[in-house]
Amino acid sequence: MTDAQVATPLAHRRVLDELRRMVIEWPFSSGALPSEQDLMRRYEVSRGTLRRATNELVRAGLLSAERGRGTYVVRDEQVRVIMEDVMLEFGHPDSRWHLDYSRFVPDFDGSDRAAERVAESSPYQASSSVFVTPDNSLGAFTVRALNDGKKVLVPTFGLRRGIMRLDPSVISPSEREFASTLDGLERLGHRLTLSELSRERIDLCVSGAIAIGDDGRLFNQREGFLDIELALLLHLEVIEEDVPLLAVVHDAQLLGLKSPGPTHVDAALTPSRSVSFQRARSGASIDVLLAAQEANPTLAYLGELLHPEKVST
Amino acid sequence: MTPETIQEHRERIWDTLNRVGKPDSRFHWDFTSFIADFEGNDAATARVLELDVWNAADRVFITPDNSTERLRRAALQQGKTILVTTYGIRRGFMEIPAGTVPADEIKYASTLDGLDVYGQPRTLAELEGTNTIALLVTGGSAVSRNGIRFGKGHGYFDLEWAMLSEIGLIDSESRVVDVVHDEQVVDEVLNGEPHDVPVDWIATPTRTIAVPDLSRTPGQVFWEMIPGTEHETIPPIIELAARR
Repeated sequence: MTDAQVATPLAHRRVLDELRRMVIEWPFSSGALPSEQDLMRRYEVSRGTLRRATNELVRAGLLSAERGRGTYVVRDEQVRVIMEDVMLEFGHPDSRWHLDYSRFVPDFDGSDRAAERVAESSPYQASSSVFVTPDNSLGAFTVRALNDGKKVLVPTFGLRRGIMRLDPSVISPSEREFASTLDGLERLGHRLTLSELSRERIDLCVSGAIAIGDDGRLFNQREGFLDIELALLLHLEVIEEDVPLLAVVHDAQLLGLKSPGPTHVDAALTPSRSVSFQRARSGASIDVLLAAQEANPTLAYLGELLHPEKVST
Repeated sequence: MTPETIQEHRERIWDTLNRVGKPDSRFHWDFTSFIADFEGNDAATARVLELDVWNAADRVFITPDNSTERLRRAALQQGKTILVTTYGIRRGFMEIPAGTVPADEIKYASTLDGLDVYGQPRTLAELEGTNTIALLVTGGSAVSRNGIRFGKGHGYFDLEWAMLSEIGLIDSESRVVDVVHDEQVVDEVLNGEPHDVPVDWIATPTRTIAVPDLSRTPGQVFWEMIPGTEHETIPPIIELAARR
């Protein structure tokens, strides 16, 4: 093996690490990254080595190369990567994913106090059935809602096996902590068929999030399950266009910048405060469902809903 | 076994899982990511409960598989302490001491989500010097009639056995039972590798197979096999490596 063959992977590794660090720290207000020539000088590498690193970050979704305009940092992905570090400060591990916060929204100390704030809100007090995302941060809220006699609908992780209903008239008080976990949801929830789901009525939605922008838009896992679930519920008329949508988050998940995400919450509740946002929600269209089904044919309900002719009876 | 027969067994076991395996709360039907619960598991569980060594034990080690959840529940109900690893051993060992879980919360405590609530983390230093473990329960994989496990996931149990041996919790009296579906039992005699832990019993929904003429001694960590694997970064391996 020649020196050049040894040096190339090492140089690639170094440039990739340095470029990635620069991208993660790239100020939100700045525009395109420095030119290729500038970066080649800065890292003292060839154009080929630099491009390999840049392309790798483009594939990872952190950079977008726009022909003739330059290379830009993808804000949404940048925030997700930053938040994975931030969440290490306060997040609780998951029983399967442990500390891999790219896979789930963690619970945190004080999530019970945030749940308490939701319970004090008027949309909550007026509600009888609540939709709750399958995030670990919403365990305390789910227990509270069941104890207050509300029905709770929770999707299975990644909407893979449909939406489950937790019914406080069936689940005894001593089982409710268990019911609020994903393992408990399996055993104590009732899986709704598409026709059962379409007969449900939900008057409050509560979500976890990786972070929330100062405009009330959510940063979330890249698959965007909440958007798909809300579009599905709206399409089935389980929720109405103006259903209240609240988020339970840690204080460190409230960010002072805008999110490009489509989903807008009415308020964020943290252990220490409630923040309301101006509502600017657009009605979800069936296009969201069609795109979701195309991207991931294993999502529950969508095949049956969108292509009923293909479902054998 | 020839490569062809191994492949045939794999395909048959895979077909069986797709038919009788139960989904996981995170991984759904991705049976490459976890050891699944299966139809008939309650009958296999009942067979383990009949073993004298189960009844005599006041602490049992049980792997964090979905197929061993009923045994974790039974152990807690019968007032035993359970020693468990976290999924993939990523956060090491946990213990749920006897009598620490209220009766109506035992079902919860026996799941992996419940282990995070009721389990108490244990370093190897904390476990060292406690009584030896009379019975270890593992699940999944495929197992030959002479008790050699093979296929997906068996490496974790071999490592758990090795680490517990290194701190003196395994002795020549320690016994191992493997809970599997009937289709996971392969009617062949396999030659194990030095790091393989042959099992004493195979409990299925329809039968209990006692493996004859088992010779097995406490194990050891095979350090040359660790570097470059996912085992390299698990806390108890880091702890043991620091002692070498």
